[in-house]
Parts: sequence; structure tokens; C-alpha cells
Amino acid sequence: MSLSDSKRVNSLEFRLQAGLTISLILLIILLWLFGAGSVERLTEDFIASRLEHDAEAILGATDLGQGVSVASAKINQIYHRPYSGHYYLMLGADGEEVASRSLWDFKLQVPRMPAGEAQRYHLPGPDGQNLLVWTRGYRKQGADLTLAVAEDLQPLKEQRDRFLKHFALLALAGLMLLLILQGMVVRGAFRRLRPLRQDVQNLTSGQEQLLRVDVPTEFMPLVNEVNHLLRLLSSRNQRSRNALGNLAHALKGPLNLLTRHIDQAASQDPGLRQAHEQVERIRVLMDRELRRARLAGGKTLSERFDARQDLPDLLHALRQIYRDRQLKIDCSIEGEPNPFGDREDILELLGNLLDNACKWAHSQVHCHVSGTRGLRIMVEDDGEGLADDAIELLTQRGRRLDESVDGHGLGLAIVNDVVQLYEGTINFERSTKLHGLLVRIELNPLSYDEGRGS
Amino acid sequence: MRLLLVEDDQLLSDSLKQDLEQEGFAVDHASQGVEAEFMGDEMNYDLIILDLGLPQRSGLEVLENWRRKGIQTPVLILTARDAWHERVAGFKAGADDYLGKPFHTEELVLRVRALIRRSHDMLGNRLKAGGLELDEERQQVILPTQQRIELTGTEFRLLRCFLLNQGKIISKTRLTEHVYEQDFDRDSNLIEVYIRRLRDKLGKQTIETRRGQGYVFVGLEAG
Repeated sequence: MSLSDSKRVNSLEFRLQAGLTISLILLIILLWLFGAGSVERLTEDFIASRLEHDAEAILGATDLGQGVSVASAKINQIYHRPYSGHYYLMLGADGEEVASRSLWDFKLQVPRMPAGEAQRYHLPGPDGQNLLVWTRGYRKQGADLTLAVAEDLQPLKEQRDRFLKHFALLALAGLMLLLILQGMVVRGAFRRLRPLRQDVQNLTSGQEQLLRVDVPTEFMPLVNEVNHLLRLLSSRNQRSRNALGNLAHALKGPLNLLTRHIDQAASQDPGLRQAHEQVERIRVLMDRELRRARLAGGKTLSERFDARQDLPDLLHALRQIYRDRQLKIDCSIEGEPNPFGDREDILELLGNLLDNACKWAHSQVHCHVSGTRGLRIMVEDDGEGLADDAIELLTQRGRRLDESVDGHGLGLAIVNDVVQLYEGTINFERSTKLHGLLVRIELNPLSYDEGRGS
Repeated sequence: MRLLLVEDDQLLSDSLKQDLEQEGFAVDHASQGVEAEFMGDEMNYDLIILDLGLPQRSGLEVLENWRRKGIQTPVLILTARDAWHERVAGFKAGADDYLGKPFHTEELVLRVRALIRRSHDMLGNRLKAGGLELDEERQQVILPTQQRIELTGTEFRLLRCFLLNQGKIISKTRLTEHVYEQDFDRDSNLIEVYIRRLRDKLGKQTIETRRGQGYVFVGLEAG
């Protein structure tokens, strides 16, 4: 669980979504608060100004003749209907109170105001109403009056609440829609990375040499870095291979002269047999180690082995080498094998294998290549083959081939090195068709490919 | 038989030249690519031994150029670069044989002989024509009666040239080229002397003279 969670948190899509969600929610809350505040202030201001106008009208209808009285016909009828939500209260200078009929028996408690001063506040009203009260002190015909006009805010409040609820619902729906849209956009953007992933997979399986640069701009630096690294790796590999080639070339010259010298001297002086053997050993060791060092493995950028193109060339070479023996060397390729591994490695493997077969064959060597992802090779000849116990010996795991069977030695040792490098398997048996030795080799696709699944 | 030895290692080429001359070959030497290509173009060699790592122009390039120009002289590549992909490239460029360094001189000589026989359409590993067989190891000629006759160096070279070209007219100049070194004083009268000696040993009718053209080896059986 924790693994999948941490994976989720690490996902770019998740992070983008979370960021967007949080910022949108904050924005909506702010908008909501601001909207609610504005609506409340606006309605109250509006109502207060109406109350002010009503107060003027009431004041105009007030008669101070005998005590305080309000001419009810001159003011809005709404002040006469009980609990209508619109009320007034007039306080005379000498403690007289004139309340609107709508107040009925409810007592509105308002403080007296000095003339010319006004105040606005909320008071609880009759019937659970919430009143906005506007009070002002007047001086009329030499008498101080305080007039309070009130209006019930409840219906407006209900309307405002409905508005805010709708606003919240709308905002929530908008948020959902935005998140879904963004999810689609993000996934769309990541879909453009799929070719890149394919490229990297091709790289490891060796079908591609560099990553394509047709990627979103944000990934260009990464792709460029990877390509740069790949080029560096490849050129370094090439350099060390070249250096080995040059070393081999340089060492073999002197060794050749030494061989020649000892060949000549040994014919006259049998005591030099030992030296002759040692030179021969150096030659074999050097050859083997240089060949082994030259093997690259399939994880480089070098050229791939293409059976359709390279195999005929190799057969041409072998036919030239064994032209005098009139061997029938043929090869069949099954299906369309993909370019595989390192060309030089696979040629070394096939060359040694076929050369060995040609050496031992009476008249015929057959080679069969197949496999679309890995490479399956079968080489058989019509020579003596190996005795059953020798085959058993070769099949034993971990046995060094050059130690086990004479004659089939060095060539098969290189073959074994390549097979190990490619994590493949090698099997020896008696050919049922040609009755000589049959070697079966299976080279696996590189391990990255296997993990990929299908 | 005239060979071109292309090898840039002076020590190796000197000793190799000596060995090959002992085997009865006339050997020219080139130590770099451009020179080698020119010599191969100009001279009709029986065989070229070619190193690949040459200064100025690589052996592979030289070989490709020859083949493109239609020069079909057998070429044996002698190189330290003997990985299989390099061999494949060598044969693809038109090589007839490939020998990796270090090598034993005997093996090289065997391969040179085989290549020369092959280039004259002679199958098997013996040099036989017109009832005569040449023992290249001992430089003797073997008659149908199994009698062996010793040959001098020049006689051996001449007879090998004749056996490989049975029934064909060989000019005196060509014989001289194939028998002597580049800088040898080419006195064509000497050839006549050696031909007379061969006729003494094998019978007068084996080598016919074509006036103004050269000589033809017809062999023992021919009328």
C-alpha cells in the first residue's frame, strides 16, 4: 500500500491535479467569502436608504399639534398591517411613544438620539424576525424627536443564502469539470512521451542507436543528455576496441618473427622444442584473450548482426577457405530474424562454430538460424562427431570448453564466451540428419526486454 | 612464379622474402599501399600476399581497387587482424585466402602453392600435368615410372611455370619475369640454356619451340 501511495505521490499527473485542486478550492472560497460579504453589505445599504426615505415620509406625516401623531393615510400601508416586517417608532421629547400599527403589541427598544445624528443596527423583532433599524434624531417645530424605522431582513437573508448555495454548487461542478479536463490534457501530454519510452526500449534491445529528438520541449534537455552519453559510451567502446586491435597487430609482428626463428632453429636443435611450445602457448593465449576482450556484448551502439545480410558473406568466406575440400556448406534462415546483438560478436561466434564444423566435416555442413527476438543457431556436420561421453562432458555446466575436448578447443572456447556474454545456452548432441556433431545455441534477448512483458 | 609481397614490417618481409625465394618463387616487395596497388596494376603476378594494416592506403582498399579494375590475381591476405568480421570483410573485398598472424612459414607456403594451383584450374594438392608431377618440397620431378629427377632452382621454377600452363604459349619475356627477381640481369639466352637442360632431362618433345612466340609445354604423352 505504502509503495503504491508513494508511487502516486511521485506521479506528475497526481501532483498537477493536486496543485490545481488546492488552488481552485482556495480561489472559490475567497470568491465565495467576498461575494457573500458584498451581497450582504449591498442589500443592507439598499434597505437602509429605503428606510431613510420612509423616515422622511413618516416625519412629513407627523403632526406635533397635540402630542405626537402620525397621519396614517400619508404613509405606506405596509406600516399598518400587523407584523408586516416594516415598522416605525417615534419618541417624543417628553417620553411619548408612537409606534406603527404593524408592531402590534411588540415593544421595540431604541435609544434616544440627539437631533441630526443617525445610527444603524440590528434588533430582534416580533415573530422571530431579524430587523435592520435605522434611527435618527430630528428637531421639528422646536421639539426633539427620535424616529426609528425598521425592516425585517429575513426574506432577503433567505434569498441571499439560496444564491450562495447555488454559487457553491456551481463552483463545485466547475471544479470537477476543470479537473477532468486537466486530467485529459495532462494524459494527452504524457502520451507524447510514449514514443520516447519505445525508443528507450529499442535502445536496450539494440534496434535503435540514439533517442529521437521529436519530444516535448521540456524533455529535450534530458533526451540530449542521454544521447550525448550514448555517443560518449559508444565512442569510448569503439576506441578501446580499436586500441585492442592495434595492440594485437603490434604484438603479433614480433611474435611472428619469434615463431619463425624458433621454427627454423628447432629443426636443427631438438632442445628448442620447449621454447617452441612456449611460443605456441603465448600465441594461443594472446589470441584467446584478445578475442575475448574484443567481445562487446549487445548493450552497445555498435552495428547489429543481420542474418540475411551477414550470413551469406560469412558462408562466402568459409567456402573460399575450404574451397579445396569441396565442402557443401549451406544455411537456412527461418522467418525474419531481427538485427541482433553486436555484429562482430555474432560473426565471431558463427565463424568459429562453422569453421569448426568445416574442419571436422567429410563433405557437408549445415547451419540453421531462427528466432525473431533472440537468436537460435544450429550447426551440424557429417564428420565423426563426438563420442557420447565427450558430449556429456561438454554438457556439464560450468566446464571450460578448451579444457575438455581436444581439437574442438579454441574455436569452441570463443563460442562459449559469446554465449555466456549473451546469457544464452549451448548444447551438443549427435546430428540425426548428418550423423556428425550438432551444436545448438540459443541467445536470449537482453534482460531488459524480458522484463518488459508483452 | 612471381609473387608480390606487400608487408610493412621490414624484418618480417625480409625473412619472408627469403623463405619464399627458397621455395622457388620470384618475390617483389612493396611496403605501403599506394606503391603496392601500382605494382599490382602494372605487373602480371601469379599471386599477391597482402597485409591489411598498411601505411598510406589500407590493404582492403588496395584489394577492392584491384578487383574493380578487373585484376584477378589470386590474393592471400596475411594479417594480424583475424577476427571473423575482418575475414568476412577480406573475402568480400575479393581475397582468395586469409591467414592470421602469427603463422608458420610452412603453412603460408602450402597455401601459396594451393592458391597457385587453384588459379590454374588444377584440382587436388599435387602439381601434375602432361604425365609429369612436381614435388615442390624436394624440387624434384616425378616421371610416370615413379623415377625422381633432381632439378636445379631455375629448372624447377621453369618447369613449374610450364606445368601450370600446359598447352599454352609462354613468351621468353614472361618466363624470364617468372623465374628471376626484379633486379636480375635478364639475359634471355640463359632461358634457352635452361630449356635445353630440361629437354635433356625429360625428352626433347616435352617442350616445343614456337619461333618468334615462345615455348609450349606439351607433356610426355603428346605426339
